[in-house]
Amino acid sequence: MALTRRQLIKQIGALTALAGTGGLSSVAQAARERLIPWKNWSGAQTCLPAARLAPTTEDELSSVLKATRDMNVRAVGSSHSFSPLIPTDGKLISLSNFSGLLSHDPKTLQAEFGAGTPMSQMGEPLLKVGQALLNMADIDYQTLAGAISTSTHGTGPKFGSYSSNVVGLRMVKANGDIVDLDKNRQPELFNAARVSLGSLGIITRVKLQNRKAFRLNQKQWVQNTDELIEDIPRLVKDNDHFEFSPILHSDVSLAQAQNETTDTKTMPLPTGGDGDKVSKLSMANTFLRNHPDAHASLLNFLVKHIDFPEVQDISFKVFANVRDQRFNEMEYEVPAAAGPECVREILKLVREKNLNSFFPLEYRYVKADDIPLSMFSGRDSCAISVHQSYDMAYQPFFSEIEPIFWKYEGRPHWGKLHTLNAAQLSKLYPRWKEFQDIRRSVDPTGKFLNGHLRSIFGVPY
Amino acid sequence: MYSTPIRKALLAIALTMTLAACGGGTSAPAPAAAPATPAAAATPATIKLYGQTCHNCHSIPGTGAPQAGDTKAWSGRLYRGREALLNNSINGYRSMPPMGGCTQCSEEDFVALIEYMSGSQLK
Repeated sequence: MALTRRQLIKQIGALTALAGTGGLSSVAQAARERLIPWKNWSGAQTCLPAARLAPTTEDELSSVLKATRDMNVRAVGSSHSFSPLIPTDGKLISLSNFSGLLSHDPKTLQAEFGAGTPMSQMGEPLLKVGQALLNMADIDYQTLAGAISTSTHGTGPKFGSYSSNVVGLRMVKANGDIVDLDKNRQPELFNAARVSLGSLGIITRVKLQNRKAFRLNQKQWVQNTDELIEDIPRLVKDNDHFEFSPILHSDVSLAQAQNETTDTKTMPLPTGGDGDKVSKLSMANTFLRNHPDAHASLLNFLVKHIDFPEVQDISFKVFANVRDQRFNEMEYEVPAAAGPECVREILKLVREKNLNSFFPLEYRYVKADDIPLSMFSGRDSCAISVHQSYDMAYQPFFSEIEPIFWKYEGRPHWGKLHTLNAAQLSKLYPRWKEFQDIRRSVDPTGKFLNGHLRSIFGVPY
Repeated sequence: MYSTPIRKALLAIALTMTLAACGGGTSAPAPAAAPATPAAAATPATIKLYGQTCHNCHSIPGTGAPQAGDTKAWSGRLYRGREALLNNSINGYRSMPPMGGCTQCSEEDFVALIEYMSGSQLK
């Protein structure tokens, strides 16, 4: 906050000087230009940075980092993280000018993108060169750097997170050095930088291992949740990508299976978002949350009568959905085998305590990787997410659910809300110290650390 | 069986939901607005910003966002005036995320983007 005060003093000084020259008649008149705060997608995280910058070249970015000595620096992508990874009163650096497909190799099926490329803008250029991402999350609003820095993922036990497909990076370090990293060039730093929460440097380019372009078929259906959970082993085995979303306060879930297909018939994803469906759940919650039995009956009836058409198209047109109802989210990755028991316990608690939330849960699987700070480091995982509408308090709901995740040794998704600090997190990550040692070596003064990162890494001011 | 008040509530919700499902958009009709002044041609920088951020919702029908170039949809918003639309852009409004995802945008950028999408000068 010292910086903000310093800025204020500077501004008042400047205004006084201007007023002295007759240039202004009042402070109010002089202050017409509003200060623009940064806020994340849900609106729950906010800050007022000293500067918002969008460098256009790596050299320019390097100069900014070299010149920054008395404040921290955070890189920002699409602001879709729910956790306070971004808030800073220092310099906020947008990667928007580091965007687009930079190169590709048809033999290795690898492609390099600017790190600020939105995931939503990677599918088409990759298709033009015959490639596709191996897997995708159900939201593609993130930028590539943001997605890999938080180990963002889709679903499927044979598929790792986006970070696990990174084969090369270019990064600008705290001292301004521009370095290319891969398995042969500074391999330890490379592996750590694949999931770093933006704490090792600012990533400007990312090279990904892709595959040949492919088509995907998607089927969705509504089923009794208990039956669905019993059937998980078969559903996971029989489908490339399986997930389901239990509807809170009901007995049913929306299940989804996606499988590669050679069928050339196209059945496009319906246009628009999920707002209409979420609004129905919200309305039921508003009117009936004090009548749990009636609430469940209505939801059971309602969800079974919503139409979920089959979808079939080029992969990236099927994976991602439009989420036009904003929310806050908490997600933990529990050991894959613990998933069914964990989700049962959450659903039981929601019903027993009639917890106030109407967004469906999300239940997915992710393959293990070898990245020190990845939530999937060394263990196949089940990702369970809970959501709260952006205009409702999330703390009361999430604080009831979070201890259940702890019981199953869950690791919180770095980009989503949680309350753990370094003392707790260090016990969940076998390679915790390895990452912290690397971080200290490349950013000894903590230039890339905001308050949240200092808390989760255990670095005092 | 449920009590009478709950049965009535269920009926009301079912009816409301059916109407909502049939009704499409949820925007209230806009008051009659003064004829809009066409916006000046967008700069390449504005078009680039649009492609990086706004495009994600304002070019996808059904998201609830007024589509770029849909003057009818924008007329229902423009009457609220420059300040209101700027506030919505910066702070978010319903489905619209704060800053529309453009973290480096200035006030002038937001005005230019709204004018580019609406085709009208902001007043």
